[in-house]
Amino acid sequence: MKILVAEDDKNILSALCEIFEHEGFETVKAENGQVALNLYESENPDFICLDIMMPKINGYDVCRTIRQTNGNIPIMFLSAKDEEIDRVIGLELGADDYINKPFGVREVVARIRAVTRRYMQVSNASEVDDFFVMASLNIYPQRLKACYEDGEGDIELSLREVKILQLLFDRKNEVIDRDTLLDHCWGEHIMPESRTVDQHIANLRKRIEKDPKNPAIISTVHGAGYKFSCED
Amino acid sequence: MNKQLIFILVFIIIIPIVAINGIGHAFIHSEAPSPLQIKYLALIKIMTVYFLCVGGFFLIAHLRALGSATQKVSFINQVSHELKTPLTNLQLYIDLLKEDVSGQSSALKKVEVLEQESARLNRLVHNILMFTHGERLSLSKKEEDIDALVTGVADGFRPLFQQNGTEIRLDCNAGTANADRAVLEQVLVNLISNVEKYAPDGKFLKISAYQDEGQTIITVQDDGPGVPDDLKETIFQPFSRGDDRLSEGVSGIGIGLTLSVNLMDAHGGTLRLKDTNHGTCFEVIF
Repeated sequence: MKILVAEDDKNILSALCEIFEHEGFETVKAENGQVALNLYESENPDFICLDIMMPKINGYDVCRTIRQTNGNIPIMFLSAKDEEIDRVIGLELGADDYINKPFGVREVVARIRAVTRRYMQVSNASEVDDFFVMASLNIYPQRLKACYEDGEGDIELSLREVKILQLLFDRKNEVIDRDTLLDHCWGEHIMPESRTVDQHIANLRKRIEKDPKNPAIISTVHGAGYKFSCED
Repeated sequence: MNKQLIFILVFIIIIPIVAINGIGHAFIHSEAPSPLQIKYLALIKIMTVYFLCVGGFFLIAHLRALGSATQKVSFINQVSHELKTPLTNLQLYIDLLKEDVSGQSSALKKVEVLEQESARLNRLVHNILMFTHGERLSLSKKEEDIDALVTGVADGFRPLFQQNGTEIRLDCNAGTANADRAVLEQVLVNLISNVEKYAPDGKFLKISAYQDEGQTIITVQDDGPGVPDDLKETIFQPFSRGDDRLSEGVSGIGIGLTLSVNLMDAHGGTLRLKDTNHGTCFEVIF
């Protein structure tokens, strides 16, 4: 999924893109409203994150223009304007969510996952209940969620985590090396450090494995990569 | 057009002028006006000019006030943007840095100090902006889990109080109540950060939440030196930080309690200093 991020402060823009890329999105950066509209036309994003107070064209006008031709694309406003009326204007223009500045990584991640989940469920309504099972863990890709067959846990997943689990499931009993995981789940154009995969897997294990020290879902094959072992 | 402007136009300008000129009109059309009537007519004309001047004065004053209010709102919006943008950067990059240094305990401790100071700055800016906004507060009340709200706010302060060796004791049995979450959170944040400022050596901070005769009551009690008797009357006034005994070396600008009282007032509740033998105890009632 591709996300267009429009924000006039370069540091916030850069941090947001890092967070979204970590979540598994491909990002497109816009430093003002005019560039955002141009990139919306040329890049065809799946999701838009808009600051309101931007030079040239403000976020409200960007949202209004996009909504004239596209009523479905999720739009999330980021703003320092936290009056109730500002939120109402944003939401009435057709935005799906509104985050007040200042915000931290956890808030952005929670909001982006919630909006993505809603979008995926609406755009793939027929597949919303589809799931695959890895060692008694049911994984619902469209819902970005997982839970154990005994009903224990309701685990929220990022887009990237779903991609990792889907790849390991599709190629069960095969060892997947780090380069393959990077190409498949991060994209060939992104060059993260090699330890990025290990950190990601370690964090994912903490959340999905009943015993992260003796993992049943993602096992490490030393010097080679990772594997999901399944007998059937 | 707002009510004040309509009032000025109708009652101070239009009605008096129409009424006075109506009378004058009757004089002009009367046959052979007497010298006294002519004098009255001159007086009526003077009064018309007078009302036009008074009305014009009020109209100009009102338009100036309106312009000034618009400028104030625009200024607050601009200041808000200018303050919140660096705060957003601080918060985002501290979070990202924290992830990068996870596992390096020495670096992590330093980042946690940055995190706490950023949170303190955030609270200060939020208070100043709320204080400046004043009457523009709008409430959004709904059924809230008060115990969870109190616990959430207290948990946010745990790392800070742990450093000082102050234990946070919670006793929450209030259940749910109709409340504005943002207002209650801000009032509690202000009260708890005052404990951090004025009772840093206290052994405990006790926060209780309960229902009593249909009212929800939250108390925040510390183990510090307490508020001196001569300051109890003025403690809720703006910029009142007491004398050097209380405020020397303590951060803050003295608007937290004023803002909290105003917030609780708007919420339909009260915030008061409760009599206690030991430390300071604030009571939030709604």
